[in-house]
Amino acid sequence: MRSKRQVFAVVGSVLTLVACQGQVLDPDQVVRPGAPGSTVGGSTPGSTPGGPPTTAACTPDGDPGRVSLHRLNRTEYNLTLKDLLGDTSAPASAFPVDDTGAGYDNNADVLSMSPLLYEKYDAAAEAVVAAAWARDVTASPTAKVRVCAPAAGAEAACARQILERFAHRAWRRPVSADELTRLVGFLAVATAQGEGFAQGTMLAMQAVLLSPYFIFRVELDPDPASATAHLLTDSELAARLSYFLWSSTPDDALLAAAEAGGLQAPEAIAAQVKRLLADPRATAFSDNLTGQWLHLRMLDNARPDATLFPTFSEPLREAMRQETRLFFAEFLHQPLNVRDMLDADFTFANDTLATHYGLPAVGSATPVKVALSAGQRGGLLTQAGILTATSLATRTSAVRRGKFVLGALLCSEPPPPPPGLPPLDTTPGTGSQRQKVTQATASGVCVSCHSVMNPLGFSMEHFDGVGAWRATDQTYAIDTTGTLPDGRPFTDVRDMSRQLKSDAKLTQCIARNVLTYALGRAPMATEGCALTQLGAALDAQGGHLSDLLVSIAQSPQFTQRRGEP
Amino acid sequence: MKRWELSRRTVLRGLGTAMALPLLEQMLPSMARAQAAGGGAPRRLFAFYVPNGGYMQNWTPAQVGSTYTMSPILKPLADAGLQSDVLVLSGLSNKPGDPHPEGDGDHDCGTAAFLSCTRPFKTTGSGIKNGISMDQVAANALQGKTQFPSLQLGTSSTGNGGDCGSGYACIYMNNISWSSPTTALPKETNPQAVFDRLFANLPSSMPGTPGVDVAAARRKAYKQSVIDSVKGDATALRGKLGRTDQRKIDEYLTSVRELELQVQAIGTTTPAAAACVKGTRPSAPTDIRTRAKAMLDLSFLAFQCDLTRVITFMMEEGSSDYSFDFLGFPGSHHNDYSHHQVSNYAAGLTAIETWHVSQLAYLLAKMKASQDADGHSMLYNSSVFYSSEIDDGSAHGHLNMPVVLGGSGGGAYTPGRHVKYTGGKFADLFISMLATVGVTQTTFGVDGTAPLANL
Repeated sequence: MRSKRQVFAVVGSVLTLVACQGQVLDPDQVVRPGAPGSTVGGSTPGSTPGGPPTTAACTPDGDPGRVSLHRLNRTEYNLTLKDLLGDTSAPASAFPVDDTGAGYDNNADVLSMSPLLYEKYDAAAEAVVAAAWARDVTASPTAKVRVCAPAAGAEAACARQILERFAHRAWRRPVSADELTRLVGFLAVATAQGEGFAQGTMLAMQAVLLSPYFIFRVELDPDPASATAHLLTDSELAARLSYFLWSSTPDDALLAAAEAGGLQAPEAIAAQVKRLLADPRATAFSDNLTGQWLHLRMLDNARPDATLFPTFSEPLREAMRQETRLFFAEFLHQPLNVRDMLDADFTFANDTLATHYGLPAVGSATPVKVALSAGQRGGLLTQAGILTATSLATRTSAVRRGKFVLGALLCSEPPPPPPGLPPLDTTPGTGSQRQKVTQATASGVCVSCHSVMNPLGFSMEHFDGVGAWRATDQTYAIDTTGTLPDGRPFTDVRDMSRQLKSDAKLTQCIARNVLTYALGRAPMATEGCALTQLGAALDAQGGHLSDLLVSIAQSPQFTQRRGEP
Repeated sequence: MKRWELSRRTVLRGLGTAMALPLLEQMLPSMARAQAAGGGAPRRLFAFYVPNGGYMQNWTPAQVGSTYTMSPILKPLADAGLQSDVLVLSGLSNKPGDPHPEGDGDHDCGTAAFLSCTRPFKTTGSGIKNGISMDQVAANALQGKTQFPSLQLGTSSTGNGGDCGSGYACIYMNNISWSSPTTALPKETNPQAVFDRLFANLPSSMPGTPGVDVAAARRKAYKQSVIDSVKGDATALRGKLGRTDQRKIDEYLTSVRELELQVQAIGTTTPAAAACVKGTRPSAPTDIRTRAKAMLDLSFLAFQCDLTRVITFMMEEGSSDYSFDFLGFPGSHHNDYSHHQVSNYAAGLTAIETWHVSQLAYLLAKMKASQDADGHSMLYNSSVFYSSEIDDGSAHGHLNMPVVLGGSGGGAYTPGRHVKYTGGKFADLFISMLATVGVTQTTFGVDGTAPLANL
């Protein structure tokens, strides 16, 4: 047993070496001996570690994959109730935190159900229905639910009208006559308890919100045991589109388009993507993608040491968050090349952040677009939110920052370090971070990965643990020079970013992240080719993110599914 | 075990009559009292998870046996007068928590295997698979005896964006209770929500108030009607789904069924619940200290009211970065201290882990001071398992885990000792613990083969 393990350990370190030296750090090519499973990140038979990324034409294997029954995550649940009922109480914020799979919390495989969670759904359904009922003015144009006034003796007719409309929108599909009859039957339950129309209709609405047709996004296969790909129904496709771009339920226009037929046409999909993106609800896409792809949610957990970083505050944390979100949204909505995210000459700041950056006050508490002249900042890797999220409480971490560049931007995250590491001496006055980190990682098994990772992080050493500019590291001069994984030298983070932005892997990595988020599942090992093509198409079209979103929404992965043999 | 069954005369001689009434109950022979209560006292399980392993130099007591000096980290137990109520178990392994040879991920695997003794399937998303956890085996066996088969509590849910690292989905590092190999049970981290949940179905009026509770009867009928409706939807849908999705609908149906048990309990209360004092709703926690205390208070209350007999509690999560400013050790618990990245790591780890153990001592002391129907303390009738996902926080092994077992399991253990094992396993300890709640099995997880000797 032990000898076997040692053999694997040796094999592992050889491969690690291969994976961490040279320019190729493709996760598809990091072979993990003995790792079962078919998702990317496991072994890929036939891949050639060390070879350049192939840009030659490849043929996707036609398997659209399958997304398992997708429970609405906390964000989706809150936004869906907001759109359905006008409810802004965000009840799911008190639900158990959703687990994360493949880097995203909308991963259907890890969105499980538990008794505790169901109890929360139950309590939330009761509360939001009662609140919506109380908010509505019966039969007024603003009524979300109470669209009719019950006539004496004909309460069932009005209940039917209310419930048909509500269940249709909540279940994202037309409701069958049988389903509707059962829902109207709740009137009798209330009558038996000496109550009537209002209570009965509200009970039925609770049943709608607790049904698996609401809690899960249901997609059916004609044959659940067949691996043959088939198109989603238009209603299913509509839900995929709205949850992709809004993290919420389809609006009436999208439902109508689905039920009119023809939503599967590529031009119809493109039109809907543009329409959904133009809606304010598309901020959900920017927030949720950047929160996870760019690790901004880690910023929520950052606890910079108050003594060392006295300028850090909650308003500053919020301004950092806003900066990167708005910056990303600018690339989403304007005809900008996504590669320019690495060295853009603008950002978004309010007075708090401008002060933090040493920029002139912008005269606004809400962030505004500001030009950055040549200087300290420009591009994602100089944004304080990312710099803080990749720091520790008391200091910068060049290792985390380097790992962020490799993982988030190039999808080439190095394997984690082995256990039993010696301490990094953090005694003040005994050397710069760069000297200490270099010394601690210079030998043995560390060097292969850290020699690639560290310089990328060192390039950002002028930014302290909360992303503020510093001229020196304590009393030590800061050295931001280094080399890219392919050996090209750079002088600092801005120079590095200018070179990184032309890396072929950048757009493929963006495509991988957006596809993972759009589908709510991890990419399959067989999808490397599709990702290469999506990245190439993004570049060919001028690097517009909105075009990538259209390409993904039109892809077989998004528009088709299959059963599970 | 000699208990405090004092003679009636001794007590009446020594105490005022105002004290006599409650004490009279204690003097009943335990057997008679147990019969009066309709059975013995409940046996309970509590699993207490702390992150990032132990600083073993300051964790393990120097001597073994029944005469030993508590180590620096375990000292809060001695200070609280609990040394005779706990077993310190050294040398136990949880090898399924070792991710090798598939690579690293000791925190992920160790947390997933903490109560399952099963190595989780390595994945960042697809095909999540672990084993059923010890607490859930117990909860299944005790189903129906209490309103809540089990509770999962914690102090934080980070819900990390990005990867939890090492190729393992975050679900493995954030959960220790698994009701099936594919279903992790999330923990409640808001003490107010725990309070509301525990006591929502207790009658608002005092027990014994005459009159039928119309509102309760109505509520029960309404909740049941909704449950019937959604069960109908789910059952019909299930027939149209593939394997994986059927499993997800089964999780849903199980969850609905648990709510149904609570609904059926509306308007009816167990004797223990009717007599228990629900106390006041905790205020919103301000930091880990008030949050942990509130959760442990609620755990105690849930046991005392016999609302559940199985609780798991996670202090933070695997690889926790919690910054212990209040102990004077700012910075990441995991990165800075357990990885020895700061020069004062030894002092920091000792302080952090001593604080963790003081939280255990707080719970155990409350349990020790509470008397069960059989005349023993709640602690005597319980098994409180305390450990971490790895052994030494820097070495990341799974061979010499830091373990305390509080309580006597209703007389199954002989506490007051430090026992050193060679070849002992978590899984075997769990077989022993499960036996105390009436679950007899000869295997557990992947490596449990027999009850653990010398408890």
